[in-house]
Amino acid sequence: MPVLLEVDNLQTQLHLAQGSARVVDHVSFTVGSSQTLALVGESGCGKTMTAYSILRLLPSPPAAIAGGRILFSGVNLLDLPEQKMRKIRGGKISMIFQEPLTSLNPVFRVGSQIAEVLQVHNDLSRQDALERSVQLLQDVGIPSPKERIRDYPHQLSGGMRQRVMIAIAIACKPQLLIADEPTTALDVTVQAQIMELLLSLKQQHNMALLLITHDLGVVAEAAQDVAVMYAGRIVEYTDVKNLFAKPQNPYTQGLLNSLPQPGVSRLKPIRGMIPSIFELPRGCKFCTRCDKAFDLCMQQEPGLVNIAPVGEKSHFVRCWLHQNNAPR
Amino acid sequence: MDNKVLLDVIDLKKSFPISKGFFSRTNDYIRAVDGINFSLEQGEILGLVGESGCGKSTVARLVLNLDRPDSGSILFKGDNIFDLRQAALKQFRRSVQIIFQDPFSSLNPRKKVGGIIGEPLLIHGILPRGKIREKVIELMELVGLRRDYYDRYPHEFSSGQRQRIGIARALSLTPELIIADEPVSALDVSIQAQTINLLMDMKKQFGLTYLFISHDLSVVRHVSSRVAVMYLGKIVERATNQRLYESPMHPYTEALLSAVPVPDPCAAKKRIILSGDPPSPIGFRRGCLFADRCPIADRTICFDNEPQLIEKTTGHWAACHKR
Ligand SMILES: Nc1ncnc2c1ncn2[C@@H]1O[C@H](COP(=O)(O)OP(=O)(O)OP(=O)(O)O)[C@@H](O)[C@H]1O
Ligand SMILES: Nc1ncnc2c1ncn2[C@@H]1O[C@H](COP(=O)(O)OP(=O)(O)OP(=O)(O)O)[C@@H](O)[C@H]1O
Ligand SMILES: [Mg+2]
Ligand SMILES: [Mg+2]
Repeated sequence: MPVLLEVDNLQTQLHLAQGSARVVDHVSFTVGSSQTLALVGESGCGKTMTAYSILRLLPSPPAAIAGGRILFSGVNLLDLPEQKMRKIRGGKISMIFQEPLTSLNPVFRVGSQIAEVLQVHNDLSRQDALERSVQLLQDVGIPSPKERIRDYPHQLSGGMRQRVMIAIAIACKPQLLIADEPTTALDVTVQAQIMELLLSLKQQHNMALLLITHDLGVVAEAAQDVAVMYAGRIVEYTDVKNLFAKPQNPYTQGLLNSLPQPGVSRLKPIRGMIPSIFELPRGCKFCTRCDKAFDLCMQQEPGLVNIAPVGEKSHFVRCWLHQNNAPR
Repeated sequence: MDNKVLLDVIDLKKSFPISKGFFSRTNDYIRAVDGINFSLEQGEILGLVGESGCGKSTVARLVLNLDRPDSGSILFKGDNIFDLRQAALKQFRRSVQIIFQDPFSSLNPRKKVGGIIGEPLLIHGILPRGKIREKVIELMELVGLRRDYYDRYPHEFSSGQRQRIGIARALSLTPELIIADEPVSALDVSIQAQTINLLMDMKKQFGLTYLFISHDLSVVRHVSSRVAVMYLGKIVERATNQRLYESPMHPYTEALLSAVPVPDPCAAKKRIILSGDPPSPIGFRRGCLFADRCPIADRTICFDNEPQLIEKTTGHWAACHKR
């Protein structure tokens, strides 16, 4: 499968009054065309910052990209002038944002918001753009789309609004869709509808998907590859079956053990809580909560290494327990 | 009647008027809670599940006697809570406590943690002022908060710690019944697991009874002994935890359960995707409220006759014509 997106050693820094912190720290991953990579991790681990870095949408200040490359079809997006970048956003790469309420403009009808995106990226008349909008609303499963294009966002339910967001995102047939928590605010039956819709659109349009979520259930059902983040770093990265069957990083294991499971009478949470980005421990960032931590873990941070046997699908783990080249 | 019943909710109804305009009389209602029945035995955990807007929090407010129902009654240890006066009402307010979903908005930002946890003790005059600090510190340690946090403000805490503050406060009056309204929904999975364990430990230690409200079906499965499923203000199914999850009867419960993503990529699943959104809770109703989204609805009855919640097999109640 050809590589569509390669994020290579991305570092994103936040400069705040309390000091500077690296919220995305040497993050690398690849997304093949028409493949789904899930980025998972608990609140604050840097998922949204990673997505914003890719699209160069960082709030700046306080944020800035401090290093790395973002290769999209071989072109480093970090080298492009803003004007070119604007063509890519909503065009070849589009994004569904984490807050569906704030990302639709309340004062414009949904039809004109979709038409607007179409006109920015294509040479279309207003009339043609509106007709395409009706078709798009139909594609995302909104009943009576002809009438609905005249609605304002507040007239739609949460699930319908999310469908409109998806319609806008796929309007220009992107090669890559970044979906940041696309179903988190929704009820479970609506979540199931939206995930089904996303996956079927992905198939139809041969789209790659970077799926950002904290829900391991959603990951298991939708992704081929998974990268687990903690404190701005990728701590485990492999294909979805491997990750759930043989998680190797104690953090990933802890996340899975925290989930309620039928037949388990007492949950096994990770102890403690995520440290603030300004108070990260030296060494491994998870060492303060890890039951398996030993001296080395407190002193030096392990690298992300591939532990899969030669010839097998790669399995990257950031943990001293899995490195035979640990310094003595 | 079983003498261990702590709470009995009977034919409870609550609607909210919607005013349509400045001069118009209100003539439409949101039927937030539309004739529901359930009871809670001493020491059990009843899970109340359902999607957004189905009326769960309205039930909570009614059980806490913060709102009055349009009709129906709630018996706490045999007494209708809406008839309680003075000392009896005060005793009720001690015995039933709530834990909210959102630890951010439920704590007074200008009060220190010690003051927040000790406030109910002060209001109810349980302890002399001088003894409160000692009791608060005991509560803080009980829920896993360090005693040196006493003088800090809520904004200095993480969401999981704030939820512990809420739990300590709820426990301060040694209640018998706790209404937990989405107590872990805002928390990350590792912190959620810590909080659930804490709630279960507290239940054991103090012999508490919980009404556990959540939209998260796997959390409810983990904690509850019995579960009631709500849809548009009505209970559509009620059964023991095991029966409800392993052999659900109502098609809505089936759809709900099948929609939950399973954290196992190898699990074979058949998913029931419901069409459309839940219908509006406003206005006139007829037939089964789920009929227009129901995969097995029958033209001849479901759209015209409302199904009653009846006991289909021992202890397993469902409101469906077809099952
Ligand atoms: N404008 C900002 N000011 C201060 N800190 C910020 C800002 N934006 C992000 N951060 C911090 O950067 C880190 C990464 O944030 P990010 O939004 O990427 O997390 P996330 O993984 O998307 O979390 P969530 O699951 O809650 O959306 C967090 O510690 C967050 O507190
Ligand atoms: N004070 C009120 N005035 C008018 N309508 C109300 C009021 N309180 C609740 N409602 C309506 O009653 C219905 C039930 O609301 P409720 O808050 O009980 O639902 P819920 O099941 O707790 O939902 P959620 O899962 O979103 O918390 C909703 O349609 C809501 O809009
Ligand atoms: Mg985010
Ligand atoms: Mg509620």
